[in-house]
Amino acid sequence: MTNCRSFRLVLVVGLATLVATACAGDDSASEVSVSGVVTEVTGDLSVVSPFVVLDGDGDSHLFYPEQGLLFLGGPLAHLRDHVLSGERVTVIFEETSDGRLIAVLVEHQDDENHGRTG
Amino acid sequence: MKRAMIVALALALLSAACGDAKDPLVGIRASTDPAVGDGRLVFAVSELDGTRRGSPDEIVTVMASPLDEPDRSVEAVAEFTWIVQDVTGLYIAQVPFDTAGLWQIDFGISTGEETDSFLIDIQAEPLGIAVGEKAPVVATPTLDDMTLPELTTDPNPRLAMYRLSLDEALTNGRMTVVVFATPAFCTSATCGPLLDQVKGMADLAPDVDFIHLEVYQGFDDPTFSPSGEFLTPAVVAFGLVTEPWVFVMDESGVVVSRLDGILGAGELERILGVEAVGG
Repeated sequence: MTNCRSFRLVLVVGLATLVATACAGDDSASEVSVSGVVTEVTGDLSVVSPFVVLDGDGDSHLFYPEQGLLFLGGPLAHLRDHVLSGERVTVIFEETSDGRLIAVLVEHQDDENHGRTG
Repeated sequence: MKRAMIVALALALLSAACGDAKDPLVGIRASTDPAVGDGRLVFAVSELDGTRRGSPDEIVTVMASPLDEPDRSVEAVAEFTWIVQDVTGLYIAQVPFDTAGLWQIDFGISTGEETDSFLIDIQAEPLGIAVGEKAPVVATPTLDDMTLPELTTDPNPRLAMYRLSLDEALTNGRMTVVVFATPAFCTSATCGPLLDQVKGMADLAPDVDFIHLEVYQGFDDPTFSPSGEFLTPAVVAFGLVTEPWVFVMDESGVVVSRLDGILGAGELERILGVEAVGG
């Protein structure tokens, strides 16, 4: 009987651990990315406010940059160069509960994946 | 069975028809700080998936209308300029924006493809120094004050562009070309070529003073960051909200042209009245 209880306890703890791990996995999966071309950058040389990326499916995404976000070590304002050149970028972002997309990393697109990934 | 085949055939036909229908081309506005009286419209033509279009062979015409006066429109032919030769480029059109507010830009392309219009918000006055205004007479550091690496992040600087302070240039009775650019933070193919184009012009216009000014200062400061705190006084005085920019001032220091982002083929040559290279 004691052995049976111990087994049940181990089973419960094991299941709880599995659930916790699965939930942690869900959190990391909530960080998603979009690749595409930058079509609009608002703000100035000091601060960039929202910017828009047009993805490979023709959908536009409005991103709000995370505080202090740089672009390849330089000012985020240089995203505007990419409006001129049409070079593709990848934006890694988090979605807030009110649906805002917060950009946490912007980098040159390094593959041919032009869509949204999760 | 027969009905199922008819449905399948109809679906196949529908699918084929949809496959042939191409999405319209879109225009992507690249001008910043557009204002009444400054008719330089820079834009890209793109497929809906972001693939850039355009070449000197794809002629683009622009029809611009104030959104609240759709019956009034002006037309212009846009000139194509490569940013990276044979890879990507932009169109530049001279559009006489004469009222502030939203303007609808319709464009046609010589390939006959469908296009979608786009909007541009024309301000009554630009945020930066406007054409016709006196340029701010700002003292800027020269080789007399600093070493070359302190003055510029250009890996191939032209020394002559760092010998004259802006305040001297604007008051010496010669035309002045100032390029604001920061090659150190250049992350794309655009800003380097702009500065190189201006450097190349200096030999063609010996009677004009050419000055390169960085956008940020204090690169040696351990707390340096490319932020508003480190903008140079000249950038602040010119009211720049983006870069790169080229400003052309006449002999009395009045702004005659402000060129945003890129230079069209022969554009600066025409402003300065010199013969284009190979032209």
